[in-house]
Amino acid sequence: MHPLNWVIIIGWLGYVVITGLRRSTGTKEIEGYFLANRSLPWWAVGLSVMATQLSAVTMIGTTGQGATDGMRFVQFYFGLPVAMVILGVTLVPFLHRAHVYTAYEYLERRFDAKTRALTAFLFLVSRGMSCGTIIAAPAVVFSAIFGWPIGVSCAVIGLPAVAYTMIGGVQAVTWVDVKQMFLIVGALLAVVITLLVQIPVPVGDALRVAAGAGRLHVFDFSFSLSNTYTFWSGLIGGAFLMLSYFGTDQSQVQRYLAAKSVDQARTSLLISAYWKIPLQALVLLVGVLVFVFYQYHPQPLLFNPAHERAVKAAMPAEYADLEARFNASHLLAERNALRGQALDMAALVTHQPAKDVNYIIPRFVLDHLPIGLAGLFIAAVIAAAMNAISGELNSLSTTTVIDFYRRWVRADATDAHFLMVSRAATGIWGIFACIVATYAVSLGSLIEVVNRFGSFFYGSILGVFLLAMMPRARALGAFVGLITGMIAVGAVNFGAPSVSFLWHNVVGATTVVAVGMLLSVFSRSSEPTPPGAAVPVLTPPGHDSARDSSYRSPV
Amino acid sequence: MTDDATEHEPTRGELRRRFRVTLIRVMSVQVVTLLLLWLLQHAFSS
Repeated sequence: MHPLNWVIIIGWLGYVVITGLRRSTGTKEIEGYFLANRSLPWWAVGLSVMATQLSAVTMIGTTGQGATDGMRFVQFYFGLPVAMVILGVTLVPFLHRAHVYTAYEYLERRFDAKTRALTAFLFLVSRGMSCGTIIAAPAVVFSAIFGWPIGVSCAVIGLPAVAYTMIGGVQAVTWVDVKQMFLIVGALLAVVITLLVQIPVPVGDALRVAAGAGRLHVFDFSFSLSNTYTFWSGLIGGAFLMLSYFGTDQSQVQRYLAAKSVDQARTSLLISAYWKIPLQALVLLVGVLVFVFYQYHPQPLLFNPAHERAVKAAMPAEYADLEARFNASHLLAERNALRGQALDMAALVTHQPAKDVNYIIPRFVLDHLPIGLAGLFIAAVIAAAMNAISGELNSLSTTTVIDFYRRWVRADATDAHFLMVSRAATGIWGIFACIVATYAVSLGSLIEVVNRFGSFFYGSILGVFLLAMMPRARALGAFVGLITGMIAVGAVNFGAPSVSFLWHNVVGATTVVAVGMLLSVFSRSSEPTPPGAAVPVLTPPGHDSARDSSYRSPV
Repeated sequence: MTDDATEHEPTRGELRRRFRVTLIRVMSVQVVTLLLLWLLQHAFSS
């Protein structure tokens, strides 16, 4: 890669770390460190929420999916705007007014300590592991492209984010997210413009080529439980997933808890409601245009340069023959079949699953983008990874300290002590994530396992929060319902593996509510009223109990 | 936007109205987006 590209990447990394460290002022106590003293403006929170979701996987995996599969992936997000509006009038005001640090903290007030501990524990396990996979996905690509050892790739991506998150807390995370969002969107737009210039036909013809190959096919109105990318899966299953993610996942909840007011918290979520689908469409469009670009320019048979080198070394004659047939062919189906054969060869030689989709965009960027712009795009990929990692590290640290350390180990320590423990927790989670990333790479399918693991309980945790809004629900119902919900999702996952994971959230949430309410009705007469039952229900804003003193944090 | 301390508590009626207005605004933008995507799908298929 040209030295100017490296200068841009290193310069940007240095800039964000310095920005993050400078934002560490005002973090002398834990409310400042975890919630920025609830002082952040809505637009910064909103951009930070969007940035946390926009990981490096989006930048290289989703664009690659656009190139190979077209625009239909955008249907996955159709439920998001609905979910955001529902959250804006339900959980957001409740949690913000409750003056809690974590969503799980509320569950102890509403139900009991074990429900809080279990939900917080599930969050820590899944987010800790997923943080590793967020680092692993781009690290694998960088290692293959630049020839770096995997540990170096993980360190380049993970350590700057760990540094500024550890020192600056949520202030640093949010303000760095804001700056990085501009870089990411700017880089995507720059790539789209470059592609439109470099494709040697008018835009209309380029889009006709894409449409002819099915890459502009967005809508699929069929109702299928096994197909993740249909209108109905996205709208219904997607809405449940987004309700769970934005309503109960601490990595998202913590963002809007840091907003100045309930109104600002609500408005911050609406930024995603308005812009998520257009942004996702832009990401996919980049991939679609790269597909069109390669119809007019020579393309590699294997996009992963490490696999290409390995196959060329191990099976030179076979690969050369396949490559010659690939270059001579002008039929898309035939080319896809030949590429499939090359991927089989790569899997045979490297003993690794050979999937090319994550390498299409990085390879295009390095081979065809002008000097400077390539560096900008790689910087944007690292920025996207850092955004996702920093948000997750901050929330992991918050849950560790608030829901476990302060709750079970030291309830009466000073703010300075909690601040020190919080920074240490951030650092430890960061190192843990980097170690998981290094091993995730060699285990390959671990990434998929972790993603599926998350879907086991997302819907079930949403179910617990739905129960919290129901006056008749009791602690026993919530706890048993949560466990039953996860078992039900497990049964669907293993008993009917063809059902898309998007529907797991629907199954989990409805099972928890049904079982929880049933048990609550039967246990109501025998269960003692829990402490703090003056505010047992998530009451809507405007209700008197929302201002009840027992809503305040107990410490 | 006001600070939480001085923010007045909206009534249920206000909440319902605010929800309706927000939902209509958000869904209007989504309808326009989906319409553009539908046009993209159909306009270049011929």
